[in-house]
Amino acid sequence: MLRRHADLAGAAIATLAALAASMAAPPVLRTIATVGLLIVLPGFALLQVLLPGRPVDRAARLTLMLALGLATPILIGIGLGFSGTGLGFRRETVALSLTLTVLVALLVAYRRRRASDDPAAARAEPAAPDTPMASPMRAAGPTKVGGWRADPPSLALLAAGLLLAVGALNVAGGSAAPPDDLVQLWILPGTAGGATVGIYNGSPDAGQYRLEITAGGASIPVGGELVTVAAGATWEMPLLAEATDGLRGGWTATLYRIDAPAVPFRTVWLPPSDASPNP
Amino acid sequence: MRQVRALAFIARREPAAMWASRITAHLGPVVLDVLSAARSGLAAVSRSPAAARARSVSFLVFTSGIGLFVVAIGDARARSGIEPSEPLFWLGLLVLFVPVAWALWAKWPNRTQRIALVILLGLGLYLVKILHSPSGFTFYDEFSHWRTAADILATDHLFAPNPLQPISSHYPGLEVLTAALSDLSGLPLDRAGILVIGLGRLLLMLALFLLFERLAGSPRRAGVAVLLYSANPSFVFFHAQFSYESLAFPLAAAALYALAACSRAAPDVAKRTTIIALLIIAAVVPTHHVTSYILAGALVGWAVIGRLRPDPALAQMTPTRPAIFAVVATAAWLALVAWSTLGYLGPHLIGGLDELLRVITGQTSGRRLFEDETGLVAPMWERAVGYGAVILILGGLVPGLKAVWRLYRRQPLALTLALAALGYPVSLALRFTSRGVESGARLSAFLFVAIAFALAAWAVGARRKGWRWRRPALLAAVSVIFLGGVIVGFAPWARLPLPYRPAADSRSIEAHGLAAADWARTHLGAGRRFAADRTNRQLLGSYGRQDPVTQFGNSVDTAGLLLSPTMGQDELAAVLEGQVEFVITDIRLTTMLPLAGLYVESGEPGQPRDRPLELAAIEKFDLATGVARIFDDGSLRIYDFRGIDASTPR
Repeated sequence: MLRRHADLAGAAIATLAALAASMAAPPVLRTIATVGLLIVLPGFALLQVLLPGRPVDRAARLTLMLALGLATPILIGIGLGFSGTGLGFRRETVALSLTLTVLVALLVAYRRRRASDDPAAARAEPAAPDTPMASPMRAAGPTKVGGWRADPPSLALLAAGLLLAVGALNVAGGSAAPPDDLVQLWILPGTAGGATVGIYNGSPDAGQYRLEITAGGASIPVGGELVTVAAGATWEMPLLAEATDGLRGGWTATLYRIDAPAVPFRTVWLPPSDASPNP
Repeated sequence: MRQVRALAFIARREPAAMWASRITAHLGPVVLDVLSAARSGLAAVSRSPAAARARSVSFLVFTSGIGLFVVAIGDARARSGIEPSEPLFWLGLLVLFVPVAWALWAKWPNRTQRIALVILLGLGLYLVKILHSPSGFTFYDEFSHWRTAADILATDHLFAPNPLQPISSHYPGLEVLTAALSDLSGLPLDRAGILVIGLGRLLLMLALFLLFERLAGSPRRAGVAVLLYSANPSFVFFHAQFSYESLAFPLAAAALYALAACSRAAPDVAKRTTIIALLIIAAVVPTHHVTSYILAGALVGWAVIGRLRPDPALAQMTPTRPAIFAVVATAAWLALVAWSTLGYLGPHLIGGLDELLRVITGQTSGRRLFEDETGLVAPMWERAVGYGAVILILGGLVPGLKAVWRLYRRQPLALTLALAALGYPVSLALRFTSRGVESGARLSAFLFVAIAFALAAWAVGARRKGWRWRRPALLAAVSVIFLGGVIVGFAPWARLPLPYRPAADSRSIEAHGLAAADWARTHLGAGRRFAADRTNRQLLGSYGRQDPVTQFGNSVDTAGLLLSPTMGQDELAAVLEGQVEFVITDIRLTTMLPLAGLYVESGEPGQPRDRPLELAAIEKFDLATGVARIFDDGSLRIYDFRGIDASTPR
């Protein structure tokens, strides 16, 4: 009796465990638990309700389970979107809705199995014949299912194939290098006529630059002679309105590379407040 | 062993992009060594036919791994601008496809092994797309759906307006599933999307195999039919991208299988399986418009034919109620949620058919096949294989449809598929039109279910004794169809991750654009109104979380604003009407013609182009009074228009 319902009990425990793991667990475990909670367990539970027993073969069960597993979160998500309850599509509402769906489905499946165990119920409503939804080839004759022998050469070839696929992903994923010229310069208006100027160095190496700031045509000193920005780092500096009385002329920031000190590398500006032409 | 040590040495000393090119020189001997060892291993231990078969399947996993590795090297070389790269891509595809095709055509695999092989083929070809863009989304449509999923996570609600593709948020099935997976697992949206589409691909292979097996009564014919289906032009790239059709189509196939499985089942089992099918159909409807329409159409066709040709001897189920459910659900969703779908699809379909009629009546010249928007013509071999694939399909359809009639005319679903296969020439004709080419390509992905079934019905098991080259010839033919599908299905400039080109969709996704989108999100905040070219629009609208202003979404001519050489009244009007806060420009657009055919959006000024964008179109913003240039990375510049109003002098 217990063994007959072990799959349902196991699924219920797995559902609760997946719910807990999806809330707080290491990333890999959390991903596995989420796939289980979101797709595998709803598909399994609904299949137990709708197609109890073994009326279809393993491939058909897997297919229908996967299809139900992909369809259920979509329907629940759409339902949450339409519910008008204000619950919305939140992590908690989705996880709890799915958990409830799975647990209710498992409960219904359990009750149906119990009912089919009960001789009185069986007399009152004969159970559907456990006719296989036989594939046409079953109708034609028995098919040998399986045939996968886990012998060393097979396993070695399988492992080699999988390693090659992983290696392929590694080769494809590892070949994108950051460009040498990815250096951003920006200026954003601040409060009371001030501004913020920033540099991002997205190139693979640290960069040394000379930053020239002008306000109303007058040059503003910027800390030291050179600005050094490490690879992948951001440098920012506030520009205070008090530093100059040339604010009506607007701010201009020009970046020069050390190896080409006379050629503006990047230029940005904020316009003058009196709408005169840009610098 | 010496080669392996050499590879390890190279891997230690140099970055992947460099050793990917070097590895090619060393790969040949290594592969030969491994193949030789595997062959001798197989020969030595083949004690029983069952064990030999199992090992052959494992061997095919191994060959698929080699195929993927070769494709990856081709991709890595292409990304680094090292030639040749494309021959490796094609070689890898063939190594992936041909051995599995050979096995599926053979008699030795049992049913389980055939299922394993179709899954291997489906997932292997899915990985080809992943290898193309391993670090995230790069395909044009993917950004639109990414935005819908991100909006669901940000707002906790569905149907937030999507400025990149307004229709996407009205069909949020894929995004709901992906957002839930991302939110619960902590995976980034693009990783969650890859996982969801991968599960969809697994479902597709299983569902199609079982559907074909149910119809054909033969696992071998089913395996070959799935093999032929995988040769359709959308299979390798289009149906592998993060897009609503990529998930809706597998679900639709599963619904069809579930209903087909009701035949010959006990009444109670049939009733319950129908409920499963209805649940799946209910999930297809809010996931993708065209798939739900085609599924409803297929069910109606199946039901009508079943009513016209009842066959009590077969106890075939006629899916009248599921067909009614599909039609009602689809119509209800269209009327209540996604009415704008008509405005979205209408121009594609009507415009395409109208253009086709004008081509037929000689009023206009048709679109040139195998020629891209810049006038570049595909190589001779690609044209030959592309035409060859079409000729082989058309040539096989006639005996295929005859075979369906001869073998399966008592099955209404088989007859429905046969009728659908007749639509293939129409989908081909649409390829001769500029406006209908996309509809034709999309249609062929659905029609290929019918085409694959008809071709497999004819090609497998037909008695044509006495020709020893029959199987190799069929294998060569299906390989040509497969290669032709890849050639026809994806632009030559986009198949490999070649170096940057402006306005070239996946090839335009690079670090500058990504970093600028990231900068906009962190420094300007989400939801700013941007005018942007096609590529930066997708990046700003997704990773940048900005709201691009467009003609198709806001009825504002931002293309004119961006492409005009001067900043005049019309351009200022576009800024004010569209409440444009920022404009992003890309100076690289002035260097080359747009491979996608346009810089901003359809109907932009200057189409079709014979020269790149003028520099003045970019530099005019520097001269505009009161406009701030707040960002500069050498290629991209962002201008702040918030200080502009109608009184601003020009």
